[in-house]
Amino acid sequence: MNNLSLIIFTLFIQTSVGIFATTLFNIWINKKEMLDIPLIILSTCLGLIILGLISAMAHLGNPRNAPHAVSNITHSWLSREIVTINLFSVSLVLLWIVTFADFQKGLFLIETVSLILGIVTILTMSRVYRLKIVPVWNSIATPMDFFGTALLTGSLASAVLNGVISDMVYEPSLTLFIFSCLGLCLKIAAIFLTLSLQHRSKNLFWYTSLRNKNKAHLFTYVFRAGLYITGVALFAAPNMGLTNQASICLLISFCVILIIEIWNRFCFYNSFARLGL
Amino acid sequence: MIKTPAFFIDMQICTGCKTCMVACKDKNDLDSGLRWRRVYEFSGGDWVKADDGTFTQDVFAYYISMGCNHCQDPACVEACPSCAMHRNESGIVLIDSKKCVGCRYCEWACPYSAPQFDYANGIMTKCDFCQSQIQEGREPCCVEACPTHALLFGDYDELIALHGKKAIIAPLPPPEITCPNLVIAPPKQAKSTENTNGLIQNPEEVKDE
Repeated sequence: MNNLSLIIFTLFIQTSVGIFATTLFNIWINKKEMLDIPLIILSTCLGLIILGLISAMAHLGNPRNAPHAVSNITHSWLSREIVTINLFSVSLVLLWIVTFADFQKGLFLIETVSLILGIVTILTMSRVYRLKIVPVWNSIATPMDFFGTALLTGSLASAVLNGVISDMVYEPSLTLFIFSCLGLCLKIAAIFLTLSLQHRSKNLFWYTSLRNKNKAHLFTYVFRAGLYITGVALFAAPNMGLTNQASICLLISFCVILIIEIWNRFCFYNSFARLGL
Repeated sequence: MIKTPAFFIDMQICTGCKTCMVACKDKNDLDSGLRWRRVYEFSGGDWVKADDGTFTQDVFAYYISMGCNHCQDPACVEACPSCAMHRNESGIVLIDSKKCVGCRYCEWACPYSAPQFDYANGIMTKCDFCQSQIQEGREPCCVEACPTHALLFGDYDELIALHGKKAIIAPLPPPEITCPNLVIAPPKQAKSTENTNGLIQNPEEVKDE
């Protein structure tokens, strides 16, 4: 199974939703008069979705038949995922046009609809993996992990983009910091819930290789959680006034979180172990 | 025409010769990695301590031949985003290669490893119950090839009436997940699905790891 394309696809889409949602809340909470999201942020969100979809196409064995992939929307969560991602991207394109044209009427409505579609996108993405026969994936840990990625990576990427907009000077934002902390909590809870599920389900598999896969190695989980905490702590330092080097801390924090997210997602796909034959 | 086509496996007389597996590969001209039918070697056991302090062994080993069970509630059909995987009017689960996107989601969803990915063509493939042979009044090639008649083919309800609905055994998944059209006569040493000291001993023969 080509997991790399799925890792890129899920991370990019979730980060895109995260950037959009955290930026939007940041604007709603802090700048009540100016509702429009900067075009550079909307363009980044759209760029990430396009790259994610290209990566998803690379995963397909027969991409020429891709238009058929929405046919089973009544039963298949994969079809629903494709539809919601496309609806989310259409709403972002609409928002981009409205923002570019400086058309304030209806902006709040489009932003709200886009936010809802973003949340639904992550819900459907997590539902794709909640297969009855894959005990480790079929738990609340999967949506927690995906929403955690959106909030954590999204808030950090949003902070980086805000820094880029403000001539490479990052102004600490309490709202983004709170979102990153929420994301961190979800990620850590998901990591230890997965550890517990792997431990409990290790005797369910009849293949030696799958049993080995489900031997939960506590160290790797603790190490992953530790790296997440380090990443958020680096982001916390400027937000709590502990350092003047806000931009450097933010960049290091973003890189640490990005690396650990890729590793964490790789571990997620590697934990696939199915009941039965 | 059979109302609900199903396989029956008499595991008491299956010798694990894998002729069914070879016949399937031969008839369908499958590449080396594709195994629409597989024969699993399941064994295990341990030392059991008796009340008087002595030990006895409970070693067991048996074979199970497994293809697609053309389930009544097929997880692959539900999972398939493109409706390529479908059940026809005879209850046979088939793949429409013109619609298959090769996402391999059906492979994740099926607890019997029935859908197999064809790397050469980028699409999923699976057992089609040898439809062409059935239409000629013959049996599927795996059933025809079985030297001990351990593998039989017939109507699900008739097979149930004949052999009874036997308990599902290890290493099979719980049947309520997909309601497979599969009837089994388990061997005497069969273990329940709760058994934890058995293992599939030939993963390299049956699994595309």
